[in-house]
Amino acid sequence: MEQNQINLLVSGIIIILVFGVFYFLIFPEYQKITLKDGEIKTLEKQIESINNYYLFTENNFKKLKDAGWDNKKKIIESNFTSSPFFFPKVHHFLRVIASENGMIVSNITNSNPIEISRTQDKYKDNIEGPVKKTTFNMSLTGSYNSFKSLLSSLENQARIVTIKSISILPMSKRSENMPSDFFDFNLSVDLYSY
Amino acid sequence: MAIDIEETKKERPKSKNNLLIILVLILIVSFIIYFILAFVFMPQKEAEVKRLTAEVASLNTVAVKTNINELNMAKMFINDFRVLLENSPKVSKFFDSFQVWSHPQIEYSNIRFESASRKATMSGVTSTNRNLMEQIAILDNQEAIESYELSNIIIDETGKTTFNLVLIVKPNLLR
Repeated sequence: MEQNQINLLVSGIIIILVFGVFYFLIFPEYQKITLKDGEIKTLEKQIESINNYYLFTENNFKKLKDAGWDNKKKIIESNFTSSPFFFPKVHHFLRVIASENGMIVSNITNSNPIEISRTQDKYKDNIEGPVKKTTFNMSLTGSYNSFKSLLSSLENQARIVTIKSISILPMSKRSENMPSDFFDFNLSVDLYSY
Repeated sequence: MAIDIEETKKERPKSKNNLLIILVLILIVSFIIYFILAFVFMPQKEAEVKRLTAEVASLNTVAVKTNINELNMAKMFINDFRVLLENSPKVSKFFDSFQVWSHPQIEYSNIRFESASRKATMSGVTSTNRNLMEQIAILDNQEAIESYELSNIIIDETGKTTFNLVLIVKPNLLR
C-alpha cells in the first residue's frame, strides 16, 4: 500500500470518528444540557411565583390581622360552629333579644339544620363552606313598636338572622293586666352554622 | 531539469500530512468539547437543579402553610357572610314604609309578610269607602310597590268597609 493510500484511509477514519464523536457524544450531551437549562428556568419561575404568592399572602394576612380578624374569628367560631350547644345558645339568644326589646316569648321551636347546598336557595352556589340553615319559629306577644325594634335588632346582629316570615295577629288570650296595644306575633327566622 | 522534477514530487506528501494533522486536531478538539460538556457543564447544571429543587422545598414551610390556611378560612367565612347578608332582606324596612303608606283612618290586622316572595297580606277595615279610595291613591303613588291587589271588599249599610290587601314590594325596598 502506498503512503498516499494510507493517509487517505487514516483521514477517512478520523473524519468518521469526528462525526461519531459529534453525533453520539457531543449532540446528546448538548441536548441533556438544554433540557437541564429548561428545568432550571422552570424552577426559577416556580420560585419566583411562590415568592410572589407568599408575599401576597403575607400582606393579606397582615391586613387581616390589622382588621382584628382574631376577635372576629372567635365570634364566628362561638356563634357559628355546630355543636351540641348551638340550639340552646340560639334559643337563649332569641329569648334575650326579644325581652331586651320588650317582647314576651311564649314559645320557640326549631327545624333540623339543613345544608344550604341541598336547599333550593338561589344563592346556594355562591356559598363556599358547609353552611347549615336552621329555621326557628317564635311566638311572641308585645306592642307593634316593640316588635319593630326587635326586627331592627335582629337585622343588626353579628349573628346573621334572616327573617323569613312575620304574622301579626290580634291577641288570642288577653289577660286583664295586658295593655290594649299588644298583639300576637309569629316570627320565622333562619340562623346559620358551620 | 531533472532536479526540478524531483523537488515537486517531495512537496505532495507534506500537504497530505498537514491535512492529517488538522483532522487529528479536530478529533482532539471534539473530544475536549465532549469532556467539557459532560464533566464541567453537566455537573454544574445538575447541581443548580438540585439547589433550586431544595429551595422550592424549603419555601413550603409550616408557618407559610398555616397563614395560607388561615387566609383561606377567612376568605370562606367572609364570602359566606357576604352572601348570607346580601340574601337576608331587611324586613323592618317594609314595616317602616308601610307605616308611611297606610291611611290613618284604616285599621289593618292579620298582617303576614313573606320575605322570599316579598308579599304582604292583610285585612283592613275603615269607617267609609272614601278612606279606601284614598288608600288606593296612596298605594298607586309608591315606587317601592311592585303590585297590589284588593279583594273581598264589603261595604255595609253604615259605610263601614272591610277588604283584603295583597301587596308585593320591590326587592330594593328590603336591602
